[in-house]
Amino acid sequence: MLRYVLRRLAISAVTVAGLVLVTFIVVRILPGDAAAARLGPEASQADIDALRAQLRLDDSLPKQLLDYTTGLLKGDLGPAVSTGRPVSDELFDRLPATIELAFAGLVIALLIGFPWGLLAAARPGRVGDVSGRLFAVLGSSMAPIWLGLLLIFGFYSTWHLFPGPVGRLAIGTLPPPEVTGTYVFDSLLAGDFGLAWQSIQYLALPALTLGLGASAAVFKMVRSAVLHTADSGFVRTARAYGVPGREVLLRDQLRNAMLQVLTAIGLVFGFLLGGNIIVERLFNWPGMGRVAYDALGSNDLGLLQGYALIIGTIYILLNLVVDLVYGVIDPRVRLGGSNS
Amino acid sequence: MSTIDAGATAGTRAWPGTLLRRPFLLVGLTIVGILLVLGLVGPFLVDDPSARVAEPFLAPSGSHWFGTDSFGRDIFARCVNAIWLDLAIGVSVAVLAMIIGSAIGVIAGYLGGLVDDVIMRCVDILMAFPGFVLAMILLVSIGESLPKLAIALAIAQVAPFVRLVRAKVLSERELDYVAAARVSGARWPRVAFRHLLPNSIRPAAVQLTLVCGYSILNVSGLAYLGVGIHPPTAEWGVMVSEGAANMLTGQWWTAFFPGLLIAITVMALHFIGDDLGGDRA
Repeated sequence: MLRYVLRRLAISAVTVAGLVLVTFIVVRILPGDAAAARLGPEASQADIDALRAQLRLDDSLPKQLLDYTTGLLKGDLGPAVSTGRPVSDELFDRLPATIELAFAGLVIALLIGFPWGLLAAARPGRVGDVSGRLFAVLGSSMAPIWLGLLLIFGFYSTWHLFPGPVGRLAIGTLPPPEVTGTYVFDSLLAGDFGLAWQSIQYLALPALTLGLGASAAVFKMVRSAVLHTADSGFVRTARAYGVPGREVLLRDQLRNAMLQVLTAIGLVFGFLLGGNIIVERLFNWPGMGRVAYDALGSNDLGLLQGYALIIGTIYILLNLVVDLVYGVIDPRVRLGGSNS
Repeated sequence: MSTIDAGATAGTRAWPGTLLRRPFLLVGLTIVGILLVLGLVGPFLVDDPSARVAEPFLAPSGSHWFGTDSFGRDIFARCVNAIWLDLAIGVSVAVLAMIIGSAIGVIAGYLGGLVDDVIMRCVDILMAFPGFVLAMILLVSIGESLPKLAIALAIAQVAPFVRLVRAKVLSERELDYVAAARVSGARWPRVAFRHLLPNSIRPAAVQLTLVCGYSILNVSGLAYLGVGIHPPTAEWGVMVSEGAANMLTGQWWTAFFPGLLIAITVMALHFIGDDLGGDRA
């Protein structure tokens, strides 16, 4: 087991290092000047030169890379030229909002996709299966903005069931005292149930926009993982012994499919964390994606680089955790891992 | 003679029959076919996409099927004119990603060893980004234009092609025909690209339609963030973004119809891809 863990850790470390290198290459080496891009076409050469000096873009590339990496090891992602604050502050301040949204999206995706996928796999070709597959195709065919706009139009503009896209709380409402940075949780901790309810209402539509798209992916993965186990010997044996179909499905098939489902959940959560720039902009949700969007508008490449790096690292860490849990649950994985 | 005739008839009759038994494929192909025809013929039949033909914000009616936008442009005309652009981007991104990805996948799978390790680590790194974020950063960094948009989106989609083709090559390379090619004196590029690639490309070809759909979605997402294609170009994603603000003030049709076309197109591509991938009803 130790060898398996070490091996997975080493692979993740290499991938993160590669991630640092790739974001560095994309921002600093590809044709295009970060300083000129930031200042726009009308900037004078003197201004560009001054910014280049401030960002130390005139140093040799290996020195820049070395400085950047040593900074990273100290948790320093460099300065965000558009705001004047450190990139790490800009992004980590907003991390709780992004996590709250992504987590709510994941819960919705699981609530819809999981039972439906199980139902579809239990009776392939029947109503539950065909409707689920249509739903999955539809869910992955809608542009996230479009889905969000439809939800806003229906639930806010027409039926007034949920608040409009103005962020995490009504304008003018004070947020709860900060503990975790997630408003729902923090207001519960403070004992303010009214505020918690309000946070949930403001969270509902953006989370639904993210969650509906992701539920299609969850449905597909649960369905195919459970269906895959239907052909295996243990299912046939259990059935031959006369164990009722439902019991085989829930006790044997689901348990064996859980590994793939777990991987799927990790991937979907990573996707929700990274894929929410659009949703955050649409709903004025002040998360990391919103920072990235503002950085796009002001051409702050350093901030974008930091964003990509953090999203990528979170994604790699999620995969690492999933792989390790995998190893704990399934002895075949860790044994196979140490053989190769 | 009679046996050949019988065979030929059976062959031609089998076609519509097969299609009818594969309703998803049939629906998908029909939609894409209609879009292609409409995309080619349509621009000659509808208004100029940039002309202000009527009052702003007219609701859908007999004379303006999809209504008019904030400038009084006919949304139906703009949607029809956009078909060609959107399909062209989708297809070129998918083909580009497939060419690059398959070539890398064949090399990784056939050569194996260190080359394979290095390539697959790079693929892991590529897959650590959501494709959308990677394309966005690439575009901002290298500057914007239509070809660059296609290249950035293609790079973001290369990884699945590498994986699919490599996996197939790993099993194909053990077969006799590969050994035969090698024994006959072919060097590795010839074995890899002339013999292995044609036999390992099928899974990638299935992925092609799906990536085509993702790319259309990604273009629309990028347009909403102000990257890639900009107004006043008639493109579905751009039109949805332009109409986004109108959704709150009640003019739902400005964003609804272009978004609906995106959804229908991507759905049709999914139907085709899922069917070819063996996931049948």
